Amino acid sequence: MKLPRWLRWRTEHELSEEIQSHLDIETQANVERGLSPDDARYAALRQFGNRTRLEERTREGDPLFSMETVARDILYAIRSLRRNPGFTAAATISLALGIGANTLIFSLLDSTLLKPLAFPDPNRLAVIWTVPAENPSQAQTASISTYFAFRDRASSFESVGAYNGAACGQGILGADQDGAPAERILGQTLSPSLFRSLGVKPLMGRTFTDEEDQVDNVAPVVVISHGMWQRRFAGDPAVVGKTLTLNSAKSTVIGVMPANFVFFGDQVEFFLPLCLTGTQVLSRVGGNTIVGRLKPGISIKQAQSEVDTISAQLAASDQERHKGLGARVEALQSAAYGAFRSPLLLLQGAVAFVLLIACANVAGLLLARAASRRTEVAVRGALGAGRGRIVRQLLAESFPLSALGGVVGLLLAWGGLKLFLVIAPANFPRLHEITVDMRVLGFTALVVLLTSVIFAVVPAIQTSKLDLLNSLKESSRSGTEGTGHQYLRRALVTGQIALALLLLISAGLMINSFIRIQKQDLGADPKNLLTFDFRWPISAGAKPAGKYRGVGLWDVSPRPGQMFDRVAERLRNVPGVVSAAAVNVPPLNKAGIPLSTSFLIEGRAAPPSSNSASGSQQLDQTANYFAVTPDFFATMRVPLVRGRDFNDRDTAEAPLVMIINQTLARQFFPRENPIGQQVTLNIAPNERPREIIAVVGDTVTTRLEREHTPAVYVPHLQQTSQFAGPLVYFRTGMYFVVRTSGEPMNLANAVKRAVAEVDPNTPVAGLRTLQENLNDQVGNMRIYMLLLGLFGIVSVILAATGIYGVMAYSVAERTREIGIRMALGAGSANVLGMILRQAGVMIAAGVAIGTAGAVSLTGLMQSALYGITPTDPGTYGAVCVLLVLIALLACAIPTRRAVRVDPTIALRS
Amino acid sequence: MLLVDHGSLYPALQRLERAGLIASDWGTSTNNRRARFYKLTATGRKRLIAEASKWEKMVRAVSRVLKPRQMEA
Repeated sequence: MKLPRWLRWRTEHELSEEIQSHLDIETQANVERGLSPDDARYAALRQFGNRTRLEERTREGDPLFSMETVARDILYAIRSLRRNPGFTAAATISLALGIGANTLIFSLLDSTLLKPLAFPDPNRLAVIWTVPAENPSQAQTASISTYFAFRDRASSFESVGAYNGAACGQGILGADQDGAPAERILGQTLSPSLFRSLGVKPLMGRTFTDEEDQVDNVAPVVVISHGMWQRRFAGDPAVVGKTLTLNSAKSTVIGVMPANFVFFGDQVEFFLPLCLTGTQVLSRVGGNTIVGRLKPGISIKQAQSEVDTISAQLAASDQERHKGLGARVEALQSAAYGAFRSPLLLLQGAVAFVLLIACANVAGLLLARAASRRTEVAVRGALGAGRGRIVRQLLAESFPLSALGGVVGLLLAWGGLKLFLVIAPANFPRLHEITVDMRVLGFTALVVLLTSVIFAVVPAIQTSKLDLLNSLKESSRSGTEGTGHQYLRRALVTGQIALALLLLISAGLMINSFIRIQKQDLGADPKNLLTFDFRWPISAGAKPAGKYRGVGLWDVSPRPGQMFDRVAERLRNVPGVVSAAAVNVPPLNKAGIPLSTSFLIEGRAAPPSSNSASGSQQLDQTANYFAVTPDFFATMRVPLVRGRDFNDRDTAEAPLVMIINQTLARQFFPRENPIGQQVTLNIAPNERPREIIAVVGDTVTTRLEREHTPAVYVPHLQQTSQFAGPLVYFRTGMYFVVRTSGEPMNLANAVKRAVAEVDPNTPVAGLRTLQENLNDQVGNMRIYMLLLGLFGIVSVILAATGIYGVMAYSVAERTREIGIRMALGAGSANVLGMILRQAGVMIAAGVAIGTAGAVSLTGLMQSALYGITPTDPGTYGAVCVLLVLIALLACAIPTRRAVRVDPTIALRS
Repeated sequence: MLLVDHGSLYPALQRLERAGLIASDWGTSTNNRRARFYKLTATGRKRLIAEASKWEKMVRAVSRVLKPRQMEA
């Protein structure tokens, strides 16, 4: 490409005119010295030097000129890429896979961890966790009194708010509105100040005032989400001021939040004030997340030191509620999504390796090409191109290649992202914000630039060491070439195999863990089970009755329990239902629900104080607490080891009974028969001794459970009439399990109708198969496994093409040598041995380095693994064998070609 | 002692001009030929003085190092 004439004219034209005038003057002077005109001109030219070269050198100093050369180099490169479609395709696909994988993972990383939260000035938002004073890394939610203390005293913050989970905001009934049936909707309780902290304004109306969030006197007001406004009010512009029935009470809609306010998840459809009770305020119990907005210019560190001071004062002045507690300030974004940091960084590391393998592939291809282009480069050199000029040309050639790879890679990433959104677990953070945006494009551009430098540098170094004379001479000779660049290519392939092995081992470990989880014995049979949540509002099933051990005490009405039995009874009569039962916590998923109890065995001394004042390692006498309807074990297919199941006669008036699991029996009744023993639980006030009537098999409480814990089961009708603390939530609702004879979801509507017949005001919520719920528990692990597996496969394919390329090239190059060897009597076995030795060295070295790397790096995955160690020999062995087989397979075609060399043809060519 | 191609002058002139140390224009030489004339700009002059004094310092320093040797020899 030439620059437009008018741009070039000044320099070139003027320069040559100037030089001409210089020469003319010099000639004139020589003539005056007495030389003949011709001699005078020659003398002047001699004196001047190489005119063309000087004109070039003068022009090279011009910035326009260097741009012109770069453009020309790039165009030249594009032409040569077009001439070699095979090479271009191989390199582009390699790079596209590498760049695409990086773009995909970066877009996930970016939208969860890097992209600022959708609040004004998000850097000033911070969470204040409550932490045990002796272990500040253990973040816990705060008590209301802690929240009040920081709200009133912390001067580092402009505003301090809080939201909580378990109080009256969670899973409430949205009852009938304009004739629509009752439904369960999800809400969030939060303090009026939280809106100020977050800096969000309602789309319409207003948010709460402090007067509307008085302790024990909460105004019946509700703010609804944009989604709720559209769904239930059809975007009615006059919705503010209307009333709706929430928890069987009328509430006035005072505001609508904007569509982008989805910090609490897009399932949350309404917002209520904290609705605090007097006992809650006095309690030490946590459950509240404090979110503050730092004053401008105040750092988290500064806030931390103030918070430390306040915590120390609290611990000293109010021992009952604050003894042994500290506080920790953490940026909101990392507090909210920190759990995704290490797996995403791990994946980003994995794709960086994939990209390195891809770069090595392209570098290898370029090296091979550089070797076959040695004549061209040597000619260029002979014609006066400097070393720098040639290196620059190589760089210019690598750039269009990686740009092309980048474009295709972006397309791959875009498609991959669409796929990811389909298969991603619903709780993956900020799913709706994940897109390929300018930030991601910028990242990809950076990766493209970086890769073009990485894979161009290797051949560039090689070429710049080029010895002109020998290259020109060698090119006319078709023997075996110099081995320098071959070593480099083999080193690249060794590196590829090592990295691919490392990735494959990580993927193998994940897959192996996942399989173990899939195969794990749940202790129950989840097939053909339908499950749903049936729940009354707390206000309909329980009444505050003062205070017990620092938390609120509730009188629980017998009515919800009777209703659960009636629902179960009705469900058993639905055609297609084999059996139906209910349990107080989500079946096989008790994660995060602190419903456990200490207990006393009658006739034995109480265990040493379990308040862990001494922190000693005694066997904690506690068990998970389950309340179930009759038939629960039969429906779940939990084996009854001995004794009898609960039945209809185990009512509130009957003798108190309980069932224990095998772990409890083993730990606390190792040498005696537990049946008939009397045990007193400590779950609620007024617990009385219960007789153990059966032992059942152990079940998991979460799928990621590593060992079973002791458990007690009581008939739900025999629970105490009083209950203390916010967990009263689990007294006014139960999770039903329905065993069906056919596909469970086919009965979904029949089940809903049956429940509505018994209780038309209480909608069925979360109706799904138990298997789906179980799958959700490992959803994140599944997605990490799929991604790692995918990257492992891609890296193996890349490494296989890498070794194939080297071997094919080497065989092609050595054809003449092989021909000579065969002519001198070498058999095909010798040739085979020779070629395989060459491949074997690369593969063995790669496997050795890769294994060593895996041993030292997979420790990072420890927490993501289940049931195996990061150095699981089975996985390592299997993966090594697999990789070696694939590598050998990649060598098969070139080896075949080598063995079939015909000496007569090889020597003549 | 110093023998360079006359042509080497031009890349050097080009660089100086780009740096703004000299300015050039077409003119007529003494024997009535069209020629390009170069002259120092104000910055160029300052720079020349600075460089020249640096050079002189260097020369003095070098000769001071060399002289005793010569006397010994």
